[in-house]
Amino acid sequence: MAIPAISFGQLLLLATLLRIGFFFFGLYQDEYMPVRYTDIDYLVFSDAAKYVYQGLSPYKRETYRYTPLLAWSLLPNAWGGFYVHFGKILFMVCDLLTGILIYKTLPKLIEHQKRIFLLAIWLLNPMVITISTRGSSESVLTCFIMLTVYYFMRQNFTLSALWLGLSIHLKIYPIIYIPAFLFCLSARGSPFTFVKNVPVLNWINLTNLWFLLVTLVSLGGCNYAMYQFYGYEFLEHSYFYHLTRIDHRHNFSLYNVMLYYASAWPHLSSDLLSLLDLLFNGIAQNIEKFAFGPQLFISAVIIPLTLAQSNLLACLFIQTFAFVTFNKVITSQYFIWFLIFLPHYLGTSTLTSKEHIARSCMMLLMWIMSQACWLLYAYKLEFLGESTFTDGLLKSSILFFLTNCYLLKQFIEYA
Amino acid sequence: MFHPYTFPHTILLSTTTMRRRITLIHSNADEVSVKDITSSSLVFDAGVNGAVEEKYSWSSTSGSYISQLRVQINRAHELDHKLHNWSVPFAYSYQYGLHVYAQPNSAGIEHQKLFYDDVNVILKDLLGMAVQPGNWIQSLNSLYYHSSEIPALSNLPSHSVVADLWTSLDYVQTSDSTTLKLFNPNTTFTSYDVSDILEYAEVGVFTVEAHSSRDEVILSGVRVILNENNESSDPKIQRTVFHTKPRHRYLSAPSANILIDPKGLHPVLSISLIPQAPADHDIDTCKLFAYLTLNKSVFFDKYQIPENVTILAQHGTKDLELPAYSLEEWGTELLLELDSASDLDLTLHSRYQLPNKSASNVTETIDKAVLFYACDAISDSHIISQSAFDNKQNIGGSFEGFFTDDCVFYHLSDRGTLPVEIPTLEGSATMINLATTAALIFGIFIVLSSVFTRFQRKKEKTE
Repeated sequence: MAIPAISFGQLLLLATLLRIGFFFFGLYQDEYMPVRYTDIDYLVFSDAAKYVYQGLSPYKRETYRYTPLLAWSLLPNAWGGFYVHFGKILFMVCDLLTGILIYKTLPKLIEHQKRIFLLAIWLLNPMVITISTRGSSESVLTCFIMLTVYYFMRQNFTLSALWLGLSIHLKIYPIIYIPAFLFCLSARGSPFTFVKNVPVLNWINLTNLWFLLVTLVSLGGCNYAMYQFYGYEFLEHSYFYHLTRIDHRHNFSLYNVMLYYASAWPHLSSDLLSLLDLLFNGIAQNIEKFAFGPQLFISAVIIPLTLAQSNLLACLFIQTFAFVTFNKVITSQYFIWFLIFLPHYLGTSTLTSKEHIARSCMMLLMWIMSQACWLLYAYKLEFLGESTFTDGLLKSSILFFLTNCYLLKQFIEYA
Repeated sequence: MFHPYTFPHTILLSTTTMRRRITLIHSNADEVSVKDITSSSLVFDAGVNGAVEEKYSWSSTSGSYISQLRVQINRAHELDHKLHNWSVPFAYSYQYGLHVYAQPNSAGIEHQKLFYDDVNVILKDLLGMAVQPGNWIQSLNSLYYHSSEIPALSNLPSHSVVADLWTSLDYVQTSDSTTLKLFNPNTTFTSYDVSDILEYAEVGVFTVEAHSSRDEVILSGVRVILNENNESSDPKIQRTVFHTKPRHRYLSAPSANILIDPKGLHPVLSISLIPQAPADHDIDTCKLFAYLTLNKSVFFDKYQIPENVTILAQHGTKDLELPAYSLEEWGTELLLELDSASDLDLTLHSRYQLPNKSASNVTETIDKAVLFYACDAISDSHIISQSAFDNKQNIGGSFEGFFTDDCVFYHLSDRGTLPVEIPTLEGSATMINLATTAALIFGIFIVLSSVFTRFQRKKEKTE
């Protein structure tokens, strides 16, 4: 049976209707069901917007650790009434815009129906729809990142760099894309004559230097403006907190249980600790710093050097996947970060060929199963009060991590 | 080193300045007869059963850095006043456990360390304990420390009627005086002899007249003054009838149900069967409130309040993420206003506990919410504040400080604590660190091997 062909417009309409449906179901669930649909972060953004509306700092809201731009853009939320949903509508629009940009950046050589299928991975993805309709702001970031890619593909490197700087201002992690863009651009210009025989330095040319400069100006300009408004608390909550946090609460990260122990270390009686415990103390105490090592080495150095020049979008996908895999905090929302590039990756990878389709399905199954395993133990801890830290969460987060590493291996080999 | 503060034990044991007042209220069904009475002693025919309050007061200085200090302890789990109706005039219905309130003077604000040192000198002497500076929280107009662990009281005054049997204690030290009150709602008073200490002592033995009402309590009985004048050998005895308006009142309806539903890391404090508002003659508007003292193991997220609840005060740690072991403050004090007497679920969130090598759960106790109506008194409200039974002070007194002097309170819940099981990390740090590190190294190897394979393949192709 042939799959009925649908146009881009029809897919977009279906995606819009689905989002509207999820949005209204969310309103119903919030009103009548014991577990709320709306993300707790949405309440944080909305409260921060209220403070801004009152002429105060958004950082008066505990746990608001984002750029003030987000609170500013949600100002209508503070007007009350139906406007409290303004943020969700904005996130849904950004989510759809991201889809449009994905469509526009997919290689033109891919046949139309395959492009529609790949686009559907984003536009009809229930995880993507749920995240934006619950009020998570990730889609604003994905939209900015796709604008970066869109202008880059159109060779408008200035606009691309401006959006990249703004993306990094929104969340720090897109900084890992700078090496990939720069290395990709190193093949699009001549090196400076005085370093053309110097390894590494001969990658530098006027194009990538300009790209770097505009990115830094864009990022620096946003940061300077926000610093002028909110001073040190902007830097502290938007940047320093994320660099130094020890997130002890359970999440998908491999480091999670280790970080729980590390956060408790200064409070544990030393007579309860073995010699080996004490030997590990140095590492565990600074794990939040050590964790950046392998994460940045793989996602910002090794992968760009391997893939940026041959397949930039596959490179961005694998970079992001690696960054999330090795991150010291992982929540489901982070998966959105690499999902925006999945259509591009699958569009060019041989993993979607008939020859490798079984392998692709197995990879997807492994990812879902290892995640489900962790979620089961998290549910037991969170809602049944069972202590599953060691027997459940530690083992399943190791399983999830190694599964992700295996997937990374496949992605790199089949890119 | 010279310390400007006069040590409290010196004061407690002083025989020159202390005044004693013992108030006994017994059931009006009991007959009381005195066997023997002198200028410094009183002996009853048989033990008299009732509620006893002992008040000791003396002049003192609170040190150079303290403006006021108040220590309140409640060891009773139930509302004694409901069990023993003769104790109705007394006001000891605050939250279970130890409560310390301290207010620095201007020098104390400037020299905080010296202020804390001064406070701890008093606490060490009175309770044998100290409170670290970080353990306090800033309450309405004072610092506040609370614990459900009750320390043993040291240096009790001699000749105490209730001695160690007190269920409630109220110690107040201001810049020029100190009072200590001990209370037991149901004890037996047999005799009182202060002949060897020559201190002024006043003993009142009363009963609540049958025609009293909840808002107007009439007491009749005798006051006996002992050691009033050392030269006279006769005690001073006065028949007394007076009326009082209690600030704290109790409904005849059963107490509201307060339970904890474990619900994993999010225990729910469930309040049901809340009695309707009272309708006494001397009150006007009544509003329903819940007062919570939550130790740091759990917290209430002010951004997740039920629709019919308003937060009027939230003091203490406001952090929504830190584990319990990273917090120095003892917890949070909350005053909530409830729109109606309908059932209410307050979702709390437990903080992560210290890892444990052998146990997978820790049991923490949280205080039951204090549920009450606060009503404006509209007639003779001055009598409430002037009553000898009223304990309202500038600082402390549980939720009293949040309300004006003309407020009366109707208690709807029993005191006590509820156990909460919190799952914790069980296992050895070595095993966890080794497993994590091994997985990390293996994961890096998997990724790098694929990069190597890709380069090899590329190299083969170009060759």
